[in-house]
Amino acid sequence: MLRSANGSHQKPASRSCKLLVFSVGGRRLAAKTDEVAGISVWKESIPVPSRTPFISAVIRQDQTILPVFDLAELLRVSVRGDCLLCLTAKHPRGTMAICIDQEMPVLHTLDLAAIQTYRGEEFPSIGSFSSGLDEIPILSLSKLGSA
Amino acid sequence: MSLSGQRAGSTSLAPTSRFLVGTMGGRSLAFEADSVQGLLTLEVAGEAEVVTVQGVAYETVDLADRLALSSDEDGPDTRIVLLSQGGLQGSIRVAQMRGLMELEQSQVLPLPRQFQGEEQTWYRGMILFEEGVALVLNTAWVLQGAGAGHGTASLEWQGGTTRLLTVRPELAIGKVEEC
Repeated sequence: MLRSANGSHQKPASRSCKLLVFSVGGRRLAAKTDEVAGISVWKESIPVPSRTPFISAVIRQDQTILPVFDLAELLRVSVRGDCLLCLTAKHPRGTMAICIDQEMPVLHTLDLAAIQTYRGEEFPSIGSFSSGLDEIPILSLSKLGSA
Repeated sequence: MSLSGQRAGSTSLAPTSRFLVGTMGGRSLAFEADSVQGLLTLEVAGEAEVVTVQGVAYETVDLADRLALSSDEDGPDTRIVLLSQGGLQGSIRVAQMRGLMELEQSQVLPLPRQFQGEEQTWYRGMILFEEGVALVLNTAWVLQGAGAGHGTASLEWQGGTTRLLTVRPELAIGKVEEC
């Protein structure tokens, strides 16, 4: 389901990490594949009255209920597309769902040396990398929702 | 009105709990059936802020406000749920009652741990209901909202002539008795 970039058939560099590049509201973000449990079609979420920032819904996947982290709200954007996707993220408090744009995520192998400091503070990150003229922040999914 | 009973468990002897599921502001909310003393139609309950049934006063709990849900328009399916637990009573208006479920305790799923706010005290957990999820209300928290000092009106018990819908814990699943 995922596209690959930067030569997925090539032997990876010894000091590299695998990233998933996706977009939310047209904004490109990356996350380490180790922190991603899966990508699937987004199902309608079920709102849950809540006082926890960015956690105010769940989705049902068969017999499982996953909390939804509203990354778009955190970024103050709206997800784009008619067929949105669900990024299932591994998290210390349990797996959670994030709605992302319909644009298909891309697998990306990055040399660790290419990771630079990300100065944004709106979400936890482990750095960023350059892609053309863009700087793509690498989101730390496991730290989302941490105060 | 009729409530369809659903039994999600098998023939297991594991402890079970029963829930009445209703809707409010488009959300499915589950009430612990043991705490439900009755269901009133609007016709019976009237506009009183405090409804007295069989000598027991049930003060209005504005649950929609406490959960920041949109208020429902009153309609033919609107019901007043009478709750009682631990010496506290309250009445809650729901848009519709959807069903009665009996579940094993293990089928009451905990609130995901990502919910870190005071909502942890609002719900006992979640249950799978139809194609979605119903939030199991913490009755003790719900009844903390009772008693805002509104006007009182008394509802006389009229035996078999009223349209008080009672739900008795001892009734078999799916049976809701209209007295």
